[in-house]
Amino acid sequence: MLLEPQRSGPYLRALAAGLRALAPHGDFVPLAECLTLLEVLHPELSGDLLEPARVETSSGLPGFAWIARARSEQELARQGDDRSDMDDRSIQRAMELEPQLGARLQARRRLHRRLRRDSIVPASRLITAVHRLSPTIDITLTSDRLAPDGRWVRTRCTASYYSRHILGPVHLLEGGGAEVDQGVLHLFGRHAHVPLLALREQLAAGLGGRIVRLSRSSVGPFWFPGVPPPETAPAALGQGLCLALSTEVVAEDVHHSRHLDPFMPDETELAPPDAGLFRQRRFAATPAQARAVQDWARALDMDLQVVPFGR
Amino acid sequence: MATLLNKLPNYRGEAPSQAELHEKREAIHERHKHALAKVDELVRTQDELGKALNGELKNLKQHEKTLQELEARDSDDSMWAGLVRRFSARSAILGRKSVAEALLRQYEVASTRLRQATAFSDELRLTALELQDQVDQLHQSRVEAKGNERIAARRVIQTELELGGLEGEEHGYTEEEAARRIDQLTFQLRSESLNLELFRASSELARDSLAPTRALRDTVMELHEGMSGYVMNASGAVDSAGRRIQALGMAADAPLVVAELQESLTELGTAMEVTAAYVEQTQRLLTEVLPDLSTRIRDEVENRNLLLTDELHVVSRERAKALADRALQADAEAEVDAWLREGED
Repeated sequence: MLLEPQRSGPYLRALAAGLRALAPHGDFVPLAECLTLLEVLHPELSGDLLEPARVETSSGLPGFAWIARARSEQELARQGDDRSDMDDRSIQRAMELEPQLGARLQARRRLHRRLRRDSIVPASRLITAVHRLSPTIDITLTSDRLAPDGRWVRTRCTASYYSRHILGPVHLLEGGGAEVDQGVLHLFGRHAHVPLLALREQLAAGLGGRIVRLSRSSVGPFWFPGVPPPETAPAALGQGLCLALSTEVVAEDVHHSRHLDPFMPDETELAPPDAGLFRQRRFAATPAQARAVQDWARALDMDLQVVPFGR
Repeated sequence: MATLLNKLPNYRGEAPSQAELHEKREAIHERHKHALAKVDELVRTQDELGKALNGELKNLKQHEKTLQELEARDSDDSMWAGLVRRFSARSAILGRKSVAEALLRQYEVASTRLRQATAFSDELRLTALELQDQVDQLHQSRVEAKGNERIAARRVIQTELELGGLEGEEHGYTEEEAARRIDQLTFQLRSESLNLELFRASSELARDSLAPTRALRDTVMELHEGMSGYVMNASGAVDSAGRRIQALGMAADAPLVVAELQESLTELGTAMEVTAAYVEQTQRLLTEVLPDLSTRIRDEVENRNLLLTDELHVVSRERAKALADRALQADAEAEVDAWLREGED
């Protein structure tokens, strides 16, 4: 879905407002990176440099190519510094000779300076961190990815090992950190969308440790006129603004399994004996849509969290 | 006969001094040297960018072969292939997955290079606009100098006539008054003759600078047009490949996606052909156009040096008169030409 230039600004502001209202925690792709991305895509900052503004119709989030253009600009911005940007005199000259070109040059300098300061959502990233070294060695792997439908997905896995001699693809570093073989990135990539319990099995086999906690959390979909919600949800959700955040966790410290996600099957009974399964979907919506979510929650007899935002 | 004595000329602006003309010449020369260096840098950057992009698109396209091999292996129905597939299914899946990851990385490299090309295209546009502005200024400067040259020429001729009258027998002045007027008119004639020379030199300076400035502008415009067209072509192909690479991440094993991806890679082939032609064009600019431009600008500067140093130091009365006649004659001829052209239209 292609957004007209005058629509992309309000769309990005609305999405940012929804994200702030829901304040996603550390199991999600970092909020700061999401907000920076939305800020740099906004025409007030980047002018028409990153257009066309295409939105994924299935998720209502910015399209892959739109984000990729911003990421490429970040790569270029970080090859230089503020001093290597185009100087005021050249921009002023361009403004005099061709205002449109001048505006573009000014937007590029503004965009690069912003992108040098903060990061934006990556296409694919794997972060390895040592969680504990004794009595067990606990390693947390965080995989961030842009899903093919445009959602921003973070998968987090904590694997526990009894000895440093059986760490498999994990390597402890002298400074206290850790790194993993490249194959682990592929493992996450390939199984990014398989059901969580199956993913737990795959990771246990691939990493060779005990999976004490595994979570997968997504930002999106974002419904608005033009991007309707699935048929199983009230159509009213698509008539205003409604952002959904979903999270699912299978972990040893989840003592009571709970299912609070109307779009996923209830699999609490399938939770492994040593772990609980928690699934939740939260919403941020404009007032009329928030009421529709509350009515829907009552009809489903499900405790759905909804945070109203905007007018 | 109305006298010109003590009547100020209505020139547009003041007559340039010899020093100012030299300064102007130096300034134009500096601007050309700077523009030539800039064009040289732009052409070389463009050449590097074109080659790098071509290399990256080739890398992206190389994955097509791996995908074809995977698909051929999957569609081989022989018993042996069936047995092998049973044992190598996992490695095939892993291989395909790696292709998807590698494609994503390669896509990002190509996309970044395209953004660089887009920024470069804007830089070219700015340089072309600056050069066009210089062309405009030169035209304006030439028109002004021409107008002033005409005024100076008329004043020279009229002063000369007046002076001729005073130097004759019948002028109606006392001998002393006639001598005083002759002195004043002689001084005025010398001044206007010098003005005439300076305006002529100024007009010729503008005229001679036009051709190399135009040539620089045209070279930059050629670069800009090539780069813009190329960026548009390659962007479409790379965007399309990106969308399909993203889909491959979701359904790495689906033959349909693999087939679609191959379509994208074929599109990349078209983008590569455009790039190859583009790199060739930049090469021509590097090997033919730039050296020719350098020579022209060097010659132009040398000629102008000769013109200014040889002609400005002495202006005799005969020469001033001849120059004024020539200026007015050229003016009249230009007017007749314009009339004739109008008649043709």
